[in-house]
Amino acid sequence: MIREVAKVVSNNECTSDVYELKLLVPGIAKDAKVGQFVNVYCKNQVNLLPRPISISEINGDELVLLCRAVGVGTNEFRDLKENDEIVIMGPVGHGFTICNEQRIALVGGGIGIAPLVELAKLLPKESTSVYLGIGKKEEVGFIKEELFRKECMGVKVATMDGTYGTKGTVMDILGDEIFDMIYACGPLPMLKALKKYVDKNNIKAEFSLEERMGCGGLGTCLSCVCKIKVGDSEKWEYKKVCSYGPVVDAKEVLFDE
Amino acid sequence: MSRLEVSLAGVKLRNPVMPASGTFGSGYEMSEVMNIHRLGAVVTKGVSMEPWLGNPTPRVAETTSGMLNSIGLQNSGIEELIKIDIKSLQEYRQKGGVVIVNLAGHTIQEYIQVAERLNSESIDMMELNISCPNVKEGGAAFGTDPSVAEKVVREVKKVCTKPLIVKLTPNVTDIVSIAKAVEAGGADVISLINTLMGARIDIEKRQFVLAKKYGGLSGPAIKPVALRMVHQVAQNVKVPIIGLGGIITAEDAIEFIMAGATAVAVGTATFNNVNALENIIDGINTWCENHNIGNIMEIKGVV
Ligand SMILES: Cc1cc2nc3c(=O)[nH]c(=O)nc-3n(C[C@H](O)[C@H](O)[C@H](O)COP(=O)(O)OP(=O)(O)OC[C@H]3O[C@@H](n4cnc5c(N)ncnc54)[C@H](O)[C@@H]3O)c2cc1C
Ligand SMILES: Cc1cc2nc3c(=O)[nH]c(=O)nc-3n(C[C@H](O)[C@H](O)[C@H](O)COP(=O)(O)O)c2cc1C
Ligand code: FES
Repeated sequence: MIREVAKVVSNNECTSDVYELKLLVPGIAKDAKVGQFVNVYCKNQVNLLPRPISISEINGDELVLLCRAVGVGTNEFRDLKENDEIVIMGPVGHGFTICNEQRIALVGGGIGIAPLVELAKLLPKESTSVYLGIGKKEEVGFIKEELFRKECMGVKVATMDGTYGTKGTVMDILGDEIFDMIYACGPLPMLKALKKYVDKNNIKAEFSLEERMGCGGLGTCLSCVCKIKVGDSEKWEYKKVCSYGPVVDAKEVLFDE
Repeated sequence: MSRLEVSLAGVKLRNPVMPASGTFGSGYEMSEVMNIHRLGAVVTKGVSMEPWLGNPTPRVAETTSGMLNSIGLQNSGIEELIKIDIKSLQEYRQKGGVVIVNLAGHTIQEYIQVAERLNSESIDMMELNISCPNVKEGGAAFGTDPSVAEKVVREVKKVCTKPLIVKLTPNVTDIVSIAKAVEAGGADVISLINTLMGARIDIEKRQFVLAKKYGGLSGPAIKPVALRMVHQVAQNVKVPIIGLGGIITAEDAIEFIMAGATAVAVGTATFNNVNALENIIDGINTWCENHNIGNIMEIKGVV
C-alpha cells in the first residue's frame, strides 16, 4: 500500500450522478488486484477522512474508478479534469478469489457493479453470467453492459421501475438458477437477500462489503468492522472490512436484521 | 543534546512527536507505509485485561475539520498485546524508540491488573486513559471527578513500576482541578486532551450517524480547546505535559509546546495523511533551524 499523487487521464460523465475516473497511478496500479479498493482524499482538509472507492478496472499503469456523487467528496472528484492531480492510497484489502467453477454468477446492485468489471475480464467467459440491478433506465449509462456481454455469457438487467430489462430487483432475475459460485457487490438489502439465497442453496459466494472508514485500510482505527462467524459455532467476532475484506466469504459474514 | 531531544519523567525521546493512542494500531501496522523509527515514541491502542468487543457500526462519522468515533476500545486483551504488539515493537525499542502502552479499564481493579501485568514487559511508560466509564460507579468517566481521578491514579501508581502518564478527558467543567488531582495522585506525566463528546444526525434518515449516537470528536476542530486546556494545566502543575488534539502540521505542534507541552501526540491527522507524523518532525526541525533554536525546550511555555 502506498500514498501516491494520481494524474487524471479522463473523467467521463456516465449518468447524471455517476462518472468514470481514469487515473494514472503506476505505483498503486502495479500491485492492484481485482476486488481491492483505493482511498481518495479530498483537496480541502475540512474533509479529512479517506473516501474508499473500489478498483473497477486495472489497465497497466491506469486504474478506472466508477463513482456515484453522493456527498462532499464524491462531488469534488466529479469536477476533476484531465491532468488534475489527486492523492490516493492503495491498493487496500483482500479482493476476489478467481475460481474455475462451471456456473458462475456476477451479481451487482447499483454502483456495486464497479468491482465486478475487472472480475468479468478474469473469469472464463463461457461459465460466467451477469445479473445487474439498477433503479431506472437512465442508469444503464454506467453499467457497462457491452463490456460484460463481451466478457461473459449473458447479461440480465433489472430496474426497480421496469423502464429497462425486467422490473424488480436483481433477486428477481436470478430466479431459480443454480450456481456453483456467486460474486456480489451492492447495497446491504441486496446482500442480505443474497445471503439467504446462497445459504439456503448452499452456494459458494464472495461479497464485497462497505463500511465507514477512519484510517482507510491501515487497520489501525477499528472503525470498519463487520461480524464474522468463528468456526462453525454461533459465535462471531468483529473483523476489519478494510483489511480482512472488503471481499469476504458469504458463509462467514453475519448481517444484523 | 540534539535539537529535538526531550525528556519525559526521566525517559529520553529523540524528538517530541508520537502518535495518539488508538489512531496508530500498535505501530507495526504502520511500518508498511512509513518509517516508524523516526518517531520519538509509539503509543499503542488502549488495552484492557480481557478482550473488549467494541461498539456496533457505524463507529465513525466525518465532521467539519474533524471526526467522531465510538470504537468502544475494541481490543484483544493484554495477553495478545504482549504476545503480538509489544513483541513487534522490540526492534523499534532497541533502536532507541520509546514504547508507551495505553491502559483501559472499567474498574480501578482492572487498571491495576493491566499495569501489574505490564511491569515486567519491555516497555518504557504506561498511559492511563481515565476517559473510560467507571462501570461500578454509574458509568461516568473516571476522569470527570477529581477525587475519583486521584484515587485511580494513586492505586495504579502503587503497583506500576514504569513512569505513569495520565491522559485527561476534556469533558469536564474544570480541567485544572482534575490535573491537580492526578498530579497529587502521583502522575509522572499528564497528557491531554482525549476526545470531546459530540454527535451528528443524518437528516434524511432522521437518526444519529453513529450507532451509539454520541462519539468522541477529534481533529483540527478541537485544537483551540486543546491548546487552551494545555496552557491552563501547564500553569498549574509541575509534571511535564504531552499536548494533543487536532495537530496536523508542525506549526500546530509548536503552538502546543509554546503553550507548555514537552511533547505532542498526533492522531486524526494520520488518517488524512500517513506522512503526517514524519512531516511534523521535519517541520519542527526546520522551524527550529530557521529560528536558531538549539533545543526545542527553549520555546516551551514561552507564551
Ligand atoms: C470498500 C468500499 C468500496 C466502495 N466502492 C465504491 C465505488 O466503487 N464507487 C462509489 O461510488 N462508491 C463506493 N463506495 C462508497 C463510497 O466510499 C462513498 O460513497 C463515499 O465515501 C462518500 O463520500 P462523500 O464525501 O461523497 O459523502 P459524505 O456523505 O459527505 O461522506 C462523509 C463520510 O462518510 C463516509 N461515507 C459515506 N458513505 C459511505 C459509504 N457508503 N461507505 C463508506 N463510507 C461512506 C465518507 O467516506 C466520509 O468519510 C465504497 C465504499 C467502500 C467501503
Ligand atoms: C479512532 C480513535 C481511537 C482512539 N482510541 C483511543 C484509545 O484507545 N485510548 C486513548 O486514550 N485515546 C484514544 N483516542 C483519542 C486520541 O488518542 C486523541 O486523544 C484524540 O483523538 C485527539 O487527538 P487528535 O485530534 O490528534 O486525533 C482515539 C481517537 C480516535 C480518533
Ligand atoms: S478503516 Fe481503519 S481499521 Fe479499517
